[in-house]
Amino acid sequence: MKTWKILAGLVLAVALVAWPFFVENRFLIHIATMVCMYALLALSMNLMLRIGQLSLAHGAIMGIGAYTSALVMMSLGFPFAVGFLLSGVVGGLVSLIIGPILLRIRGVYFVLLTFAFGEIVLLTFIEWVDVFGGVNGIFGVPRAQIFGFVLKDKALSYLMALAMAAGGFFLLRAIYRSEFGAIMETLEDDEDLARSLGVNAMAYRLAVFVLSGAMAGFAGGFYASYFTFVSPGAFNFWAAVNLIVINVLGGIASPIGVILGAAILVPLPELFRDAVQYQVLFYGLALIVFLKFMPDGLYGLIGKIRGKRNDR
Amino acid sequence: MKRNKFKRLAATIGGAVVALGTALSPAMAQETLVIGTISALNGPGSEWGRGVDAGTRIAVAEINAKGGLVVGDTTYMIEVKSYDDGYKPAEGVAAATRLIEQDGVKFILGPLGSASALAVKPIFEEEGVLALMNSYSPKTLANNPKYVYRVLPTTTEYVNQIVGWVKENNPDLSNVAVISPNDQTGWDSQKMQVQAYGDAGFEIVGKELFERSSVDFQSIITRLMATSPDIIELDTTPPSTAGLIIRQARELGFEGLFVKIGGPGVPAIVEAAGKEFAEGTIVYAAADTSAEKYQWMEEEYAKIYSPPMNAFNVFFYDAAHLLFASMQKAGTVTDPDAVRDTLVTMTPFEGAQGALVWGGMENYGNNNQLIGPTFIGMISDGEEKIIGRVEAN
Repeated sequence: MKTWKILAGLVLAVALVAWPFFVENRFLIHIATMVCMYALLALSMNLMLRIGQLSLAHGAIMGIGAYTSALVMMSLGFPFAVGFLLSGVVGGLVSLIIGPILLRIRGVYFVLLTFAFGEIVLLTFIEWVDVFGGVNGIFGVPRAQIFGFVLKDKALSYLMALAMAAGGFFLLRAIYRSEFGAIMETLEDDEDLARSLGVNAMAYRLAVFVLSGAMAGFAGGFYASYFTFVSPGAFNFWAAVNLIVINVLGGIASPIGVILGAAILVPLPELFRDAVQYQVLFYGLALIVFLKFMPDGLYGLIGKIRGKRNDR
Repeated sequence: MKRNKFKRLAATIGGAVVALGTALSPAMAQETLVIGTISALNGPGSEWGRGVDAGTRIAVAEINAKGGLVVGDTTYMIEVKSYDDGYKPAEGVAAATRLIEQDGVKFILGPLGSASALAVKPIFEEEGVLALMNSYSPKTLANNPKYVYRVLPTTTEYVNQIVGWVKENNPDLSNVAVISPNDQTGWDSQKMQVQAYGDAGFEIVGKELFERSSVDFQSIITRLMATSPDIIELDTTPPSTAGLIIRQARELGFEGLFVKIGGPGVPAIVEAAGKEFAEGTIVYAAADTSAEKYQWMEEEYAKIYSPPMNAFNVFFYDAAHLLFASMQKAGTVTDPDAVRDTLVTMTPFEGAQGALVWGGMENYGNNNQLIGPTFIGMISDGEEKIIGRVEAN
């Protein structure tokens, strides 16, 4: 059984890497790239949800990563590798600075504080025109380059996004299976108990927030070079709301659920694109149907089906 | 019997004549030409975005109703693929990629809006897809794009013409105060207005910025009135806010002229200011709404979307016709380079509102900006009345 699982995993990995070289449809590759980028972002949100803190600042942190990468390349003249690296570092650093203030508060107040932080970041992008280009943003961000190869080819951009999403997935899986993950769960279920056992709750929360911010920052760095354009509108609080929806739809309980959520939710508007005026309506209706019949997300549904089979 | 034989003979000869005629006439194959539109079709700004789509569709319906677009030996029935970008850059990229990759489109009208336009510009340039779009950002035409053309005028294109008209028709007025929103749009447009009024020989006696959420302008107006302006220029102030400023200024005793060059929106101005106070305000009018062609277009628009039609419709209607005429002259619907090379030679082109010309070299370093006639409106009895027209040159 284990060998079968390893084999299936290998086949899936090879298929995920190889398909863009056989299916020469750049639109599909673009959608797959978006799925991977949003999967990484949703995984970063999953970290926060696992400690019971819903952040509306993740769109802004992604924006910080995007602008960092763009400015490091365009204003300071550094190559993509440096810009991309710094997008994650700055995303994590900002989280490290604001974390001790925001994480002291929980529940709806944390949500409101992260919302306010996101708005401050967004207004800074808009009002500080000399640096961030105002509402028009920054145009002409250099494309990603790896070992001197410019990732103009959508398949290569997809591979980079896939590597990021896979990295995020395996990192979270490892964390959730470790002692760190167990403590994270305790922080959500019973923080007082964790504290009574000598756990420094704030340090753990901060570590999670920093890691989550760094992941969102990396996604932003990728976004800037993929679209070659950054503007404040892309990083508003709706970006964070979408990540929450992906988590809820896929299932917060497992990183696999998050990946499934991204794989369904990101291409979903494309299914309805031909409906033109009714695209948003159909998208909304589909979401309602999903949430109504899968309250625990796709991962929960799969779990239920498996449970029923075992009962038989 | 004889009669039957005669009938058969006649039918045979008739059939042969028809068959021969068909064989000898030039082959007129009929095919489908698919073009794309990208704009906001839902949510905020969709009243403008639908103008992109409907303008294109009205032009297409007109051509299809006449039997299609004849290019060389082939007649094309035109089909429009419309995708919504919701003014979002990522959506714009998805829509553009889908049009190019899935639908095989080589000619696109839109997007509308800077963020989406700037995000898709590199795609059009890299893929060699000819795009007739709109965006207020000057970056749209930066770096001499080869496939990106702007078909709507921005304030840059008409501010000097309207200010010149105001000076010519009001030679006694000299002092101008400018009020603009306190954001990038307002900062940029105020600079342009100050420059234009200065160049026309006016003296700028006051410049004020306000927060978009403001509703009380009494302190700003009092400060401005102390400088004795003859004209208060409302610039890119949103129409309803402009109406509030007009009302409050009139209540404070301002008797001079209001001018609003930055963007249309008479109904909202009148609603906020009231008919009496709004009377005489000079405004930029995107189109002559009283023109027969405009009213015909409104009727056609109502067959596609719910009214009211936005004036943006006219610009994309003209752009679509210009594109199709370029295809006909270039003799191809598959080679964007050839169509582009013809497109730039097609002006002056007779649009729905008058002659259109390519321009913009002075401001953008290229002539990728389509310029049409500028209309000057005046609010009269709560309605927009066209009182001046400056032709594109």
